[in-house]
Amino acid sequence: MRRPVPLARAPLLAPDAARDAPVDVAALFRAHARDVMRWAARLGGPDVDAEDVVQEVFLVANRRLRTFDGRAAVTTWLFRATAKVVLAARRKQRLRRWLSRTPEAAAATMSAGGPTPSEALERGREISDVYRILDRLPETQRRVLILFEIEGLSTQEIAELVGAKIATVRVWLFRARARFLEERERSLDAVSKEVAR
Amino acid sequence: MSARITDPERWSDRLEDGGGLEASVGATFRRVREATSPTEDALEGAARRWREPRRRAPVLVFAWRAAIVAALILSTAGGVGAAAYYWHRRASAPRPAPSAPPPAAPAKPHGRARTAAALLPPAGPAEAPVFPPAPAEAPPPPPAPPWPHTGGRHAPRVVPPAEESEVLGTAFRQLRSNGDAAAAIRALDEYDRRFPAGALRAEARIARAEALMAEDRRREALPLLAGLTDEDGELTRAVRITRAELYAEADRCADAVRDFDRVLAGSADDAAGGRALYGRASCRLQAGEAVRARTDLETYLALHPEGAFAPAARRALDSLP
Repeated sequence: MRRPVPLARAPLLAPDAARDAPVDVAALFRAHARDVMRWAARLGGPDVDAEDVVQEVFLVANRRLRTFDGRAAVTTWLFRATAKVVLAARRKQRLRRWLSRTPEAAAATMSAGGPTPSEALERGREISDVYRILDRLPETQRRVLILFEIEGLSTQEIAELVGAKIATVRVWLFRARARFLEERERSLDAVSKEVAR
Repeated sequence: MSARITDPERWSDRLEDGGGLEASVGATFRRVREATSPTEDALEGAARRWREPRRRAPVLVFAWRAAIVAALILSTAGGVGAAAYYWHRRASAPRPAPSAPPPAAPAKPHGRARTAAALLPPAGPAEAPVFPPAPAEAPPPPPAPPWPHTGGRHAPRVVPPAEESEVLGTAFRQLRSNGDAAAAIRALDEYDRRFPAGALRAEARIARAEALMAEDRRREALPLLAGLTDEDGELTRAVRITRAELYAEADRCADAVRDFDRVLAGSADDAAGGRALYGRASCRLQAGEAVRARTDLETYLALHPEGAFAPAARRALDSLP
């Protein structure tokens, strides 16, 4: 079983020091860029450029981390910033997705670990299909399902990240799973009908 | 950690050989996980970008923001002016013919409404508004509602009570003048509660669709428009093109193409026609009908060489076999 990604629980700076001490964003980048990039890729799906998101998140961190009050872990702060940037990026991408770049083409550019071209294409399509279904879920359910199933976090860790109660996260997860299966079924039906034509 | 013990089993931890739908979905999630794990190259690329952060000249940033503010002010003024003109004309003019369409108001949505509207292609200046114009102030009872809810555009109109117009007017004002979709939805909730069989309920339904789109709840907007028929009278060309685009977004391309066809049966060289050509090409591409998609894209570019989607259409044409 995959080890869930541990969340840093210590705040970056003590609350009192946070407002005055300079924030070492370069150190923050070195420590957390991998996490941010992974969240960006997983929350954003094939339509979002994870590198763009990483850059934007750390630019935001550079501007705003000084106001970080230290009550939450810096990981939580970064996650929420990432989620916001990804959401904005997804909205922008919807503008372009229709024609300029199909989801399949975008998915094919995701890092796929060196499969053959046909495998990469097939995998790209599969990923694209998964995200097309995920995109039909409400944002909270979508996020929780991705964090639980793909990111491998526990519901407690998700609750800390999104700032919700564990029980609430579990309700979202339950609904997200049911909705995902329902939407997947609908998607498969649509494909069958298209093929039948 | 007690929370972990009571967590449900991850589908992505199940063995695919064990069978079952959930295990199969779980296997897909595992592959997504692998594909989305950052590689060292990707991390290095991100680090390179981080070392050379993009910068915008302060003057340009200021100019950009000023342009947005100016556009918002102008669109608000335009919307209010058009609405005031509309209501004034309605109040002073003799009763209009039953099939006369409401005058066009070149208002653009505000705030988040712009985001929702942007997903649809930007409307051209000559395009009729998708939704009925909003009253600037609490309107006097209109002499005749533009919406014959009793069926058929030739059915006798029912004059709504002043209170009904006022509640709906509040919703439009919140939506159009204040750019507050949430407040508009609250007003529409009140409208539905007080006038479940109101004379203006179709306008209310369309207004709710607009408010939902402004809230980026486009999926919820579609059912409201999906129920409209030709008989309803409110299924104008502009409403139809919006509905077609919502269908397309919901992967209901068959329904979308039906509406796009109807829009194009009227004209292809106005803004709605351009959107229809573009949307229909998109649906045809999704269906693998590359030849027909190419025809639509080429027609779009011939009729709208400077259209909002011209660059995307050219790129799509270049990538077609």
